[in-house]
Amino acid sequence: MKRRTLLKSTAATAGVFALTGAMVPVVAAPVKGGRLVLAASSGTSGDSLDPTTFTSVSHGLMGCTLGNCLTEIEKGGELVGELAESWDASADAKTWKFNLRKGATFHNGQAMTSADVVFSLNLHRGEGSTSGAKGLLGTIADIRADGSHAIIVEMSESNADVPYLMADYHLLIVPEGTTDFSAGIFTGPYMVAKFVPGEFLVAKRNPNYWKANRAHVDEVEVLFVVDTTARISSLIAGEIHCATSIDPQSAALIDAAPGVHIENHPSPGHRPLLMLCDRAPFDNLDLRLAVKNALNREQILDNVMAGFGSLGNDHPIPSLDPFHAADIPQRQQDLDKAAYHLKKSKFDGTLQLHSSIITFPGEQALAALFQQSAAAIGLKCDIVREPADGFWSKVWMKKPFVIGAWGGRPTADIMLTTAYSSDAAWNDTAWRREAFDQKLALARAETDFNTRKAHYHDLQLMIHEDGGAGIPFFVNNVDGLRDEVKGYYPAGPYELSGMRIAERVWLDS
Amino acid sequence: MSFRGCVSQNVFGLILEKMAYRSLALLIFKRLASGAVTLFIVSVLIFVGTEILPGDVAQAVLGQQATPKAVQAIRDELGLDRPAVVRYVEWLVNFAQGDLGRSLTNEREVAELIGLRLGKTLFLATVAAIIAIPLSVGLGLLAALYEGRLADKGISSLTLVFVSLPDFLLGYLLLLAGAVYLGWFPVLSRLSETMSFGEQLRVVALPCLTLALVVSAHTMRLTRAAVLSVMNQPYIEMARLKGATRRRIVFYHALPNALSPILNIVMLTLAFLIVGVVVVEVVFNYAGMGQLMIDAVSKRDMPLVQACGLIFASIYVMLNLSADILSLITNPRRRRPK
Repeated sequence: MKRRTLLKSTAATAGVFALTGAMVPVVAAPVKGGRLVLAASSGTSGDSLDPTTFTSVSHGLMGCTLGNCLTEIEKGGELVGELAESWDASADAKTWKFNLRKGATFHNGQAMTSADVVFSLNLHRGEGSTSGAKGLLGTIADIRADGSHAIIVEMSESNADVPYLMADYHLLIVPEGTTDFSAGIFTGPYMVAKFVPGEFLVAKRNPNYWKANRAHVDEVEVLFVVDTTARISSLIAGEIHCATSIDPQSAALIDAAPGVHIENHPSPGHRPLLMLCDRAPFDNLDLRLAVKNALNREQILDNVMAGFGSLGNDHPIPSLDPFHAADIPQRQQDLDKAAYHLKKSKFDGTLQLHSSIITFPGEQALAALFQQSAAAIGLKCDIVREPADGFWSKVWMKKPFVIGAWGGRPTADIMLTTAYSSDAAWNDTAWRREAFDQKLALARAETDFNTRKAHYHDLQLMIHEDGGAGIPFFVNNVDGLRDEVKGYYPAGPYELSGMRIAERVWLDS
Repeated sequence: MSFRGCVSQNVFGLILEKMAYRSLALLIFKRLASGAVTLFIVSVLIFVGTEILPGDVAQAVLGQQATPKAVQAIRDELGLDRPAVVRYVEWLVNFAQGDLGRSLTNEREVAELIGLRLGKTLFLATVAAIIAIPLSVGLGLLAALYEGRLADKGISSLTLVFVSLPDFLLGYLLLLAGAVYLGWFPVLSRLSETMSFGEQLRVVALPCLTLALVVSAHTMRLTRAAVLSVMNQPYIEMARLKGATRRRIVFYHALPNALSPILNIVMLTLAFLIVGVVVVEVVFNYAGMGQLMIDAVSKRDMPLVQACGLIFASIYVMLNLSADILSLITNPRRRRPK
């Protein structure tokens, strides 16, 4: 009990830090100059600056240090224009026009025009595309230039979120015709000085950067430090200014060290227990409800995440999302109810819960805690440890009961479309409901906020009651920062100030 | 043994001595040829190994983002759907012509990727060897000299501690002490061209010390054992009966005879320093061959895995070969056919 209070109070302090951190820029003017060193948590010798090959936050961090998208997610999740100055949609939200900023230039001096934007977006579309953003742009029917500084995006179905899609970190704008991305020519705040994949990226300030009051430091260095201990030690020793993806167990230690603090902010990332609804045993709703009611969420959040997260309610929309349905009662551990559903399900076999370290460090603890809760209602469960190699291709979406991992998605629609619509490639609960699909399309097309919110409420309720995902908690984005780093604020689903830390912070000497 | 027998053996020995250098050349040729065969077998094993691992480069690169279509697009691009034998032979033919190929993940030249990393690993290994080998051989001799006395027991137990600690733990302990608390050395061991040689040494100090401590234990104990095993020979007893001091016995009678096993140990230590740095490189975030190979294996990047594996294997083969040659040169008895 004592430990729990301690950890909670630490988390609260971290929250206060974050708050004051966000207030500072209003008062203090940014200091120019210096060299900012960031440690990303992944990165291999196989990395490249080609945005279609991006798969991780480390890639996104490089991308947002060097480049810009059409739109950008700011403080409080607000969407603002980046290379697009403004946009508007037809009444049916099928035809979108983006007016581009004039005066933005690429690092090679060339002015950015609509031809570059059309080319950049099309890199991620089409049959042969292997881009991580391909699915995101799947409903785009056509992209064309409208004069030199506007583009028209035609959707095959109504979508009110198109401007949000454009903030995705893959969709950086590059010069038309780029085939070799090694020079890293973008429009962003910093220009490549040297990039050694798997080691570091050094970037110098772009003297012609079009954004005012951004890009304060002279030079940014992104290091790829896969080993968590090395990342944390070098932060404490003062060799780097910022270390991302701090594990919850180390976060309290960092906060106690002098000269460093933790930025701890909610994210839409979650770690679900995935039950495949189209086959035995989880084609049985009562068994799914037995599992969901057996989960002791508070215990899991405390033990697995050391409190660095928030409770989940068996649907994937986090409380920071404007469409979060706050009025769905929080599901608590209810062993009587769980036992009732288990009995009703007539399931008397043993569940095999598949889990692998590749999802997140702590998956074994989550599996063990579920196993204990299940045992309390007489539900037998074996834990099957899976190797990290091949987990996503051989186990996830193949085995009926798996601990999975979802990172943040910028909008409710993208999350629900990516993982819960019937024909989604990553529908990892194999839960397919026609009523859900229809409502999802309605919600996507709706431009009135309140009507839209009502639709999303119903969608969350369907997943909460009937879906195949037990979602005990949402994770937090936890970054470690030196105290001399000022101007940090959380923005959007990703850590490192929505991966745009390089142009937002400054160094206070 | 009769007197006559002795003479004939000596004459025979002299003839052999003259033939020795020719046979040495023959031996080197034979070993190089068998080395080439070894490398070929290694390349087959590496290929089979990467094939057996679940998933391929397409799935590894895409990870959780993999959709059947995206995976297929990458496979088509890289020709991964062709039979394994075809892909292997194609790689082998190119390799035999000196073309290491391109990395499957970012299409950069394998030779270029390795060029960046191999030098760093060799630098780390060389510095570690310069510390470790004289230290451990010296301590081994010292321990043999004072067998059973305090110095021997002290050295033996200390090195036992280091040999029992896993290298990553030792690395973390040194990191905590030398970098986080004392601040003498950097946490992240990053070399750059602009650094002076002194700075470079400071950067690699902790990983080198870790490596040196890990291998010293083995080398010291084996040196001690090699010398002591010679000490049980009759001719040492003879020397002792003649009244030679223990120091003289160890250095003039035992050491030359123990040199050949010690050289073998030293060569194996060198090989370990070069190929065994994988874990230490990760702990200190040192961008050498070890990290490159880990990346390559985890991404199923076959040409890169092959190149790394073959470089490591060649280093092993070459070092073993030089150990044999050196022991032949230092120990004439080993040149005689048995």
